Amino acid sequence: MRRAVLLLALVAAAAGCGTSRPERGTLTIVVDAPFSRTPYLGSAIEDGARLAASEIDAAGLHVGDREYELRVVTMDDALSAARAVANVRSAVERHAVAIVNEGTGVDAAWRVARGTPIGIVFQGGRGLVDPVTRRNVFRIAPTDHGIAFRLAEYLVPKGYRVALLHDDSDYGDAGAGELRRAFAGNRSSVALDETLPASALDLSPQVLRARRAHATALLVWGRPATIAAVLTAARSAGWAVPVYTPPTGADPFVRQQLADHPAWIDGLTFAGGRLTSEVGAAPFETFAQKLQQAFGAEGVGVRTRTGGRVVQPPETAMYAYDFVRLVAAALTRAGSTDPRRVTAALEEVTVEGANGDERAFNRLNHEGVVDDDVYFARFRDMTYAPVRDDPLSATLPAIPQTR
Amino acid sequence: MTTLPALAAAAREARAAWSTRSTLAVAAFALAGFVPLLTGDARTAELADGLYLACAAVGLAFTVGIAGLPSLAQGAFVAVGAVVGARLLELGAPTAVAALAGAAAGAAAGAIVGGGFARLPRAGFAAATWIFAWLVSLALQSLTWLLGGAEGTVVTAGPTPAGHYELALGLTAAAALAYLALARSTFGLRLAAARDREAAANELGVPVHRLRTVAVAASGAAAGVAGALAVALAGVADPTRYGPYLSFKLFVVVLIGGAAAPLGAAAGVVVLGVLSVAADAVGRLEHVAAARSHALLAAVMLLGVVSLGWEGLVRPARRPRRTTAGPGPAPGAPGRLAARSLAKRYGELVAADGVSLEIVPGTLTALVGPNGSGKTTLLRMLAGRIRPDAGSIVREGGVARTLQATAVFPTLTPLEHLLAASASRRRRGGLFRALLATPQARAEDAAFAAWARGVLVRFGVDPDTPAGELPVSDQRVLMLAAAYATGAAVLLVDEPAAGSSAAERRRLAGLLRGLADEGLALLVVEHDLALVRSVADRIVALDAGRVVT
Amino acid sequence: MAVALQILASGFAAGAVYGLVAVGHSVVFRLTGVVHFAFGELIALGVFVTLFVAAGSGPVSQTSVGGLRFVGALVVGLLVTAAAGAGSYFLAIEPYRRRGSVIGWVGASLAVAFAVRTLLVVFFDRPAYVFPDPLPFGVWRIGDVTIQERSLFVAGAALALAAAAAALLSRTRTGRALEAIAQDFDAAVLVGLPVARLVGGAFAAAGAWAGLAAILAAPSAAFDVDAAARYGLYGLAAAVVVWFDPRRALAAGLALGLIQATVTSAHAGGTQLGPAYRDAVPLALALAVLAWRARATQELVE
Repeated sequence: MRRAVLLLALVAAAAGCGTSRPERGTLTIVVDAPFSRTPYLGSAIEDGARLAASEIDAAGLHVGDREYELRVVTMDDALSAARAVANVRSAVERHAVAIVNEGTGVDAAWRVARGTPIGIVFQGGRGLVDPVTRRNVFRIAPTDHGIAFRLAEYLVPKGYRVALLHDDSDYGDAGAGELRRAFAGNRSSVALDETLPASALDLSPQVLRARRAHATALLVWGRPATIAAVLTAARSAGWAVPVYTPPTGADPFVRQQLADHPAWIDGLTFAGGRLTSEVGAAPFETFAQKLQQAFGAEGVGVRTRTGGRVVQPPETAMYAYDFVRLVAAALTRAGSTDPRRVTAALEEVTVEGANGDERAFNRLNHEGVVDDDVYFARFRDMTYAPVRDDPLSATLPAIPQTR
Repeated sequence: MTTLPALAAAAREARAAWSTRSTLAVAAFALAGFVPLLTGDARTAELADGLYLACAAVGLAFTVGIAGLPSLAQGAFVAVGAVVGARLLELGAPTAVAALAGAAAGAAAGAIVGGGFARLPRAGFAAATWIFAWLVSLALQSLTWLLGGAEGTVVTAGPTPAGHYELALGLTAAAALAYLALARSTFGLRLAAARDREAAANELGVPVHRLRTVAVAASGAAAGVAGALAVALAGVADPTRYGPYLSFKLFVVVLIGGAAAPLGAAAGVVVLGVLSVAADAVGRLEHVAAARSHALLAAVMLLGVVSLGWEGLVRPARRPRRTTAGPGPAPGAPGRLAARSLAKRYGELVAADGVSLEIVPGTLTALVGPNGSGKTTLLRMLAGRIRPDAGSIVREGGVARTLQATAVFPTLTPLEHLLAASASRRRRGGLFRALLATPQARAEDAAFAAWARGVLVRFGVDPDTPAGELPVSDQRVLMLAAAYATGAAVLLVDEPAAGSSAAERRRLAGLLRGLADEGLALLVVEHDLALVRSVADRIVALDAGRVVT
Repeated sequence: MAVALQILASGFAAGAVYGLVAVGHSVVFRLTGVVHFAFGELIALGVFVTLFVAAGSGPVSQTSVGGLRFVGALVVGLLVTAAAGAGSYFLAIEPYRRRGSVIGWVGASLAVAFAVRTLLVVFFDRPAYVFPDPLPFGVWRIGDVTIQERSLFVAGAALALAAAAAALLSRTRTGRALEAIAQDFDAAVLVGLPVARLVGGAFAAAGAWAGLAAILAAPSAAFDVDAAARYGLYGLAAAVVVWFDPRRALAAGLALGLIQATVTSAHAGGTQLGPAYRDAVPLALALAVLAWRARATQELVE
């Protein structure tokens, strides 16, 4: 309710600012995400897209000799590839000018899109994006490949014997493959390679096995529930082993599950896409403010020791926001709403991203986030800050996470 | 019969059997075929998907409607077809091959499930199939070598959405016709008998377990083909679509639409579709996230509908059976039954102790004795239902037995009773012949129907009233007629005259004597000594499990 | 060896809950001849209502709920589950059971399951929930092996409840009355037993009992509607395998839990079946045992 009112206010303000307008056409942008299964993710993507659309509309979108207005339509795919295909078919029927997707079903749906650009803003799997065969698929999100390599690059020099634990979800399986490739040249650093059951209540046997294998660090690649379960198992057995994770470690669920034991979260280190840019934290923080004003802050549900409410910085929303702005720039450049021409133009335009960095694709590269633009952050007192023992991370500022 | 006259005969039969309902059904299907002209690709694909669901639902009606078993595994059979179809399509096989392979795989899965669990009581069968549905669903999601994990297997599409639509429409129609053919055939009649009273059906020689397994396999085949083709339509085999919810949806659709009518299941799918659209519309009014409100409303409405205790939307039509002159069943050869030194104990209780008995053709042997003397136990041993602890039994020419309690099949007419009972005497009554309704099968149907009418005239029972509505005396006579119709050479009759009037006793006496004179070997258990003396050639008395001379 | 012990402990914890649910399924079947397909979902209802009353529907940490409030929430949760159990029986199942329509009550109880599930998913849509846990269960350590004290408590509760159920059914008048109903409803009505009341009461009690089971087990890890549905499924599998005998259902549940833990975590030499088979193997085994028993029960002569 509040969201609708604020958006209405934004649009009204934007409309009021301009002079009398001639009739504007409408262009549809479809957001296809698992709203019913992972609502936070869905609404993050939707919010980022809507913010971008309202700003573009306020500034005016000119394509060819006509002015247009962007309309965001959401569709739920419930983490089902078949539903995603049906949604994309439907989007094409509505003449959508772009599809913002969390990543589910792209393998099956990209052909059905008939050239309409699809922007993946969450999943980092290898093979989803291929500029040669899948010209209409783009991504703005850190890749699993990049994260795995950076993790290996970070952990191996520390001399750890790492236990590679992954859960048997799709995400975990894909990550396991990437980790094996990343650690291929350093098998001596790997103490154990074990599969964890994704929906298990209790991971004590597997964690115990890692301990028996004399691991000195755990790398847990899995969904947030798995990470929480591993931490629980290790810490309640009195094992103070350092734990490293991909971006899922920053998911609010981990902190919620372990809210009774804040000390267990301290020291948890995750790898994530860099949020701020070389010009500093200011642009990202401005973006976070705008998003919060329009849609409210995403509370994690825990408090720091001093009682501050912890909020989650809007990473996925930023990627969706950037993609929609790229689409608008491509529309202007192409001078036409034909999806194939928009796709071609996407390879030629550049925009300034929400965090101040430049975002662009080109003929050979459809990844909007550079592979090694990955940093590490460590938790302390329910909030995280970049680590100091990694060259890239050491240069980054901490982002305020309490309100 | 040569082709042209055969087709003409078939056309004449169809015309005779035509009804308003048939016209409506054909019209509905014909109209439905034009829909793709009006809708875009996305909508056509959705409708085609719904039609594949309807095909699987009509397939489920084979098990739920004809066999009366609560099968919750239909979604799992769809999944099996989908996996096989997806793997073949991935390798580049043509859609037709994938569809056939899906059907075969579904049939195999159905045979395994039916074979393993159809012996359980119905509640147990429901539980077992539910667990199976979950097993398949969970396996699909975790065993990535089956379908490639949560993202599923991607396949290159074959026919267009419109092509799939027409194909699905055709398959649903074919499934409905198959249902119709099977329900009326001896396959369907025997299963209906087993559904009504399993014990009595066993006594008439109905191979209940085998028939049930076949029914489940048939359902599996329909599900498998629908699953494989739905994968081709979607372009991806997605494990999340084949959860227990799919089995539930198919089951409830059949329940709502009416399990006993061929198009009941299809009607149920329409109802479900309407519920979904209604829920969508209401959801849009409230601006709640569509997926949530839709699911909630559909669930509430479904619950409301189911709680009303529906019989189902579509009631089965009763069509009269054609009769023509023709060779009925071949008369059976004379047979006999010889038992030597049978013994049976139940703990302390001696039911039989050194009982020897011989029943020869053309005679009626009466078995008398006080209650609890072991007469029914002896009959059950002679019929082969229970194993004696000691002794031997020689049977020649088949044995049929009537039950002590009145055990007719309430929903079947006497004509259908006899057709079910005489099914093993058919030469051209196999499953596939029935399915295809070949001219020879139909001719034999008609000849047997004529013969059965003759038998019922002889026994004095109205052939066309459902047995549940007949007077009790007629029901008892019907049990006897059904046993006779099996063609068994030896008939074991358990207390046929219990609670009947004097006139009814005379009628029974006449019938029993007539059967013996025809050459059958009869053993009749009876309390009424006057009746016994008037018909029996020999009297054997039993007391506390021993023969008393 | 420590790992093996740990596997045993994990399997035991899960198996205790399965066993408890299996006893509930058995009791319901013995009394009514009805398989309660909505059991898992009713469990979920109890857990989530308790959660809602205790802590609202926002994110919650495990100790942010005071003891007294939790007890109040627990009572409300159990009452709601009992009411839902009895209500669903009278509304949906009884009309069909009365007519002897097995297909009818199967469809109806599944519809109840589906309705409860979608209701819960509408209100509780996050992928997993953190359940408040005011009971101070800790961890018992034997060397490197950790055993959750909670799991011992659950197992103890399961044992106690199973024994109580068996005693109730065979020793007390109410229990015998209920068993009589199961044998023959119509005769029981003729004899004057308040059938509907007793059976509804049985359904309500079974629902509350199951809710208690889940609430005891829930705090140990992330909980969602699917997890509850799986408890119901495994409980059903255990109950069916022993053909709804309450005395053996608990053992069957424990066995399923142990098999599952072994398949998930045990390594034989260098190889392992692995977590991918954690559901497939126990359920397939249960079905195989059931099929084998089905063959053996009928007295068939060639």
